[in-house]
Amino acid sequence: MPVSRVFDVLRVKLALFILQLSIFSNRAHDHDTVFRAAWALSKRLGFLFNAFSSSGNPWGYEVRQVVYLRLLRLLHRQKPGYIPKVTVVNEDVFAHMARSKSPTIIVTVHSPTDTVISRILEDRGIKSSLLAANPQTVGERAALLGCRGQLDFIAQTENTLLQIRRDLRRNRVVHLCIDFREDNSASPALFMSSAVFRISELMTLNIVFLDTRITADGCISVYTHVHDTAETTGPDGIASAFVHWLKTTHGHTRDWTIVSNNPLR
Amino acid sequence: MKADMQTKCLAIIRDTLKDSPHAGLTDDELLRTEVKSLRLDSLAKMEMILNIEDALHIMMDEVEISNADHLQDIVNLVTHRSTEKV
Repeated sequence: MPVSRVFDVLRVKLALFILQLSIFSNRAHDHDTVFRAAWALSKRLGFLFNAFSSSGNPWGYEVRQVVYLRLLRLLHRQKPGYIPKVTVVNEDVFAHMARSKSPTIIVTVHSPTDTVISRILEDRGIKSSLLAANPQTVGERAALLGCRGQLDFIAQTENTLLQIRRDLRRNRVVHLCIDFREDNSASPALFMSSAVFRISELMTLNIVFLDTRITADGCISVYTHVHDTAETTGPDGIASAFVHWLKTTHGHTRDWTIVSNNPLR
Repeated sequence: MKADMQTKCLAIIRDTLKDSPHAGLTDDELLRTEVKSLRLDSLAKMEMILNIEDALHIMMDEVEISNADHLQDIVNLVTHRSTEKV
């Protein structure tokens, strides 16, 4: 392991240890107070957590999101029960989803808080399925983000797209991350698969783009955009529109290469 | 009728596999082939099913298709579904 990487690991360990102490010393207070104190401290420890921007972060996540999830894990271990605060921008998108009988697919990109979608849908009584390579990890993360119910997973197999079509026909909302990186690759290259949008050529489908951000005060903000398929041509066109939305509306700096194959299997 | 459906279905499967090592198999060999051994990704598999559905004007059940172990099982499902429709 290169020396710089060793220093990065030590910086993060030190920062997490300090956060642990903060949680421990505030443990007598209510969850919100403990979280707010630890979150404020995590910002002051940014010079240590910035190690995430250079190593141990192959997806190129925003450092704030990585720190947020680490903090939730610590909090869960030392003082379980904190329910993260979530603000949904464009609430009407979900209200429409709850009323609508049209099949809907929500696409997003991997992030430490991507599974908060399950909680948002659960809170609004919308039945959903999600695609996951590792259901156990995703389930644990969803629980940390405040999801209480059982999640319905679609496995990554050669039947993934057929299963997605089945669930859409059963009027379930399907949500998934469509970005990917090559397994075990040291390369920072990221890809965006348009494969799932092939389904939009077969049935009338509501396509919702979704992105999550962490606000300065430690709240998850959820942004959505209903894509109009008339504005784009074919699955690759929809994937391009998604990337454009992520970059122009939310300032994502990651670069994704659009591919039509299906890394989901 | 059933034989005709089977022929059309096999033609579509062959078209999907035209660039694979399975391209040279006889019909009988193809029918005995395990679906998993084709190493199709889910897009290729879905497109194969869509092409079958389009050609035969049927709608397949995704769970049944997913559970099909051999190509013979898929062909059976197709012919059964077609007969049902007629």
